[in-house]
Amino acid sequence: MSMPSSQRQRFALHLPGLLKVLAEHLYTSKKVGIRELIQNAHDSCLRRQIEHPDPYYRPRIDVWLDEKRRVITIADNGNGLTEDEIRNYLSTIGRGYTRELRERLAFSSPEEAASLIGQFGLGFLSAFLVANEVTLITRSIEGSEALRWHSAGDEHYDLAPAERETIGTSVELHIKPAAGFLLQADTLAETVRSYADFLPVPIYVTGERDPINLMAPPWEEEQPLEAIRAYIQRAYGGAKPLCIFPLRDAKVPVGHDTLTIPLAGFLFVPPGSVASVREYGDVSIYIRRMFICDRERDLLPNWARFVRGVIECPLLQPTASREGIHQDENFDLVRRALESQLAEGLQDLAREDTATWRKVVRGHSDVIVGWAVSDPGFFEKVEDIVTFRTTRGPLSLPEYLEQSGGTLYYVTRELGSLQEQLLAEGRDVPAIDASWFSVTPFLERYARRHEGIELVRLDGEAQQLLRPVPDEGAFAPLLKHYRERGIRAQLATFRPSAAPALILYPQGAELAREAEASLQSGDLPGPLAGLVQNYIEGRFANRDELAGTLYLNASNALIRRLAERPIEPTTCGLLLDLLLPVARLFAGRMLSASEASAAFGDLTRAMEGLSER
Amino acid sequence: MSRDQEWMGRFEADAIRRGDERRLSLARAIYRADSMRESRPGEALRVIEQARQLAQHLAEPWWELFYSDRRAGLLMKYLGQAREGLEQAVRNVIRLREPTFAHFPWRFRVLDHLVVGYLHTDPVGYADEIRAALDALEAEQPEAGPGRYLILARRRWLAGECDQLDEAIAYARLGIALAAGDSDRLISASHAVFCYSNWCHSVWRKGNPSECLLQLAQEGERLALETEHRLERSEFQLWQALLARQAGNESLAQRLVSQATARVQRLGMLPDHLYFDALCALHLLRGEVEAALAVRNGELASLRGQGRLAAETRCRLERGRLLIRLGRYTQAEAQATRGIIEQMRRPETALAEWLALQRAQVQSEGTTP
Repeated sequence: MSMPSSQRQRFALHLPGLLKVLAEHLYTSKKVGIRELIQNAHDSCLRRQIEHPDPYYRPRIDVWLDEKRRVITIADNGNGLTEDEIRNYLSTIGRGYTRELRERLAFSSPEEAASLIGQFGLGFLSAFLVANEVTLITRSIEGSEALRWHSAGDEHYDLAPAERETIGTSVELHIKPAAGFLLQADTLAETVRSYADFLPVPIYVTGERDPINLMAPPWEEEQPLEAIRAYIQRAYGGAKPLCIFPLRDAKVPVGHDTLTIPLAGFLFVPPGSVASVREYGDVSIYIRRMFICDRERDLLPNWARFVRGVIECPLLQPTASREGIHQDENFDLVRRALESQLAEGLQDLAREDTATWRKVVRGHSDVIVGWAVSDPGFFEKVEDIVTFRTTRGPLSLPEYLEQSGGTLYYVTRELGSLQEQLLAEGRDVPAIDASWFSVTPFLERYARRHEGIELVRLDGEAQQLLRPVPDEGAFAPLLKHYRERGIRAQLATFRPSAAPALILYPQGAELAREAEASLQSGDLPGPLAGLVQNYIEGRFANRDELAGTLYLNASNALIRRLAERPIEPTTCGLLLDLLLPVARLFAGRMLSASEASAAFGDLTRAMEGLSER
Repeated sequence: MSRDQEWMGRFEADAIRRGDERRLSLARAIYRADSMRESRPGEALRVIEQARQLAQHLAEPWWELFYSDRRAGLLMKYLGQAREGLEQAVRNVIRLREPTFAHFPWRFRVLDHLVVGYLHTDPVGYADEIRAALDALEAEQPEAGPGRYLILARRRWLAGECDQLDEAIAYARLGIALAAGDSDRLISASHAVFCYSNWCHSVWRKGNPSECLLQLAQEGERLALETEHRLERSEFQLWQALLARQAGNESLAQRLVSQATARVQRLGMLPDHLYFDALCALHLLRGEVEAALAVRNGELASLRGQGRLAAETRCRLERGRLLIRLGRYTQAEAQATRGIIEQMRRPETALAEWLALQRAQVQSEGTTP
């Protein structure tokens, strides 16, 4: 049989499959089921206030728990539902009464419209995230009889007359085994509070006398700063913020125009952070007072990894599951508004409350240094305040420079070797620990921005702390002793003068040494080993230098004595032999365990030789 | 799933199961870094550095070396810092001998980046060594997995650098054939993008049979769009613009050029010479020598002092040709170019090109009234 040229047909819908997809895959957390039903209850109360104003009406939501029956009930004294509303809204996926009411109110009463939460007509489905069966008993304010709706999550539902005295709706959830954790009173209470803390309708859990929710965000309290402080302590595990920046509506330039972004909430700086391990830069998001998500990290500027916050913005568009936010144009506008208010707040703080500003920068040093190197504007704000670990404790750069006389000495290995610290201290300067990757670029930028500041890396360039002595004069025989043994030896003066000799290695010496060992081990396939070999040969043209250079200290009493009043040659040789392993061991670099052991052997032999004389 | 993916997936799942946020953030830092590497490579580097130090702090040597390897790759490809990238690659390879890395699933990538380091710096000078290293790598890597694409990509790259254009095209064809039979659509499409990119460039260098170039560029653009390779997508658009300009369709050419250049301007990563070549060719087709010179100046600024000897030499020679056409080639320019060439291990070919430039300069001076 041939088919007509064109047919218009209806999609077939497999409801249980769709329910499963929506209920089980739309949401990532089962707790969302509770949130959606609380929100429906809230909207129903608001609807009653809007459509049937009554000065004596007191909206409320009750959450009950019956652990034995495995039932959670969410009851409200809102508008209730008529039979038509049950058919048209509750049982029609994708159609929500709240959305339609909001659209109707948008022009006549925008404030009331903004207080309604529901949007997609999907929320009720999330009941099946946590429940096998859902029973709803409702009595509408329109005067119709009470009704009982029941569904087991398949394509059918039952609707029948029911008994209910008061106007409103109760939803009974027969909790699934997988959502059994909600049957613990504490967990249920925490879930309700986390989602509905700011909703204006009081919510009573398990018959408690006081509502579990705050019913208003702290920034709407009479004393907002105090309320915010108390809120942070409660919601962020007792943290005492260093400073708080309340948020306000913001004007954001958009092309040739400006747009007002409705924004409320606050940002705050916690007492401290640890780069990589405990960084922040996140906000919790509320829309129409309903919690959407926390730890949103894209709304704050990248450099603000030491800031946290809570924001309320009706412009943000939640995803259908309302567990996240669409990153659309509004998201970008809100991000810009937050960045501008935060930057302004920090600037004011730096100008007007320098003590707190110092606490902020010092409490978040690593994070701030990390971001400052990639943001010149931010760098300028923090460059003189941020502190660095030095051999004399944490110091800001101006404090450091006062001690070092205008030069920044730093080590890239954690606190460097003792030898480098000794040389630095010998010159009466502390060494900056630049093992954290962003410290070196920070110091480099600082030196570029401030004329006359020199930068000296001590590991690999420590010879800058030595003063060469070009005329070897009387010291020549001492140097010859080493040179004859194939050891690079130089004369210099350095402090402390108590140190007779040091060995210094050039930058990259360890790399060359490890490469050598790697090549000798034969672990790498030949051609790849060849590439490593080529690199090392090209990079270190002077291979002799890699073995290190022994510097004799011309200002050391022993060295001077050996040079100026020559002693018996064998004793002198033994003394010089003794100095070499001491210097090698003290350098603390370029030594394997076996080489350290050999150095100790040399040391012992020289001392034995001396003791026998 | 390849061994490295398996390792990472298992580590992440374990961290989730144990509620170990630090290890979870260690495993996930790479997603953040990868999402930024084209648009904000400096920030991507910061994320990688932090992750590497976190790995060190948590005593996770595999992750430490993994992030060190990603650092090498980012420095070379996205930040154009070949010298620093190669040194990092060498350091990483040396670490492989530590017993803890005996079964390191990322070993192949670490070794591969050593080869890439040489391809970025002096590929002609080390061509024989690179080929031998690729043979050795090929013997190391399992039959399945993305390693196969990488080996082909490196061979294709080397052939292009050595002016063996037919060989480069043959490797591009092989890569595309391999991708066509791969069930992992995203990985195969991603590699195919680079095959098409090199193929287009080789075809243009060979003398530009227009129909073939158009088909390649269109298919490349489709895949680049699908896999979100923005730089390569711009290159494909530039080749199409070139053909449109040749065919007299100037409005299409201009639209494609403005789309391509605007996209690249938004990127934080440095474009490669394929992009600059296409853009210069477009300008020269309309006789815009000054505009082509401006492009080469920009390219040179991104290459100078980064240890990319081959790329800098090529750019300086191209720039020299343009300067001669404009009558502005100076001895200082010539000596600067020669200085770079002399750093190459096998400078003969580049030196011959340089001498040809010198002769062209003398001739142009002779013809100048």
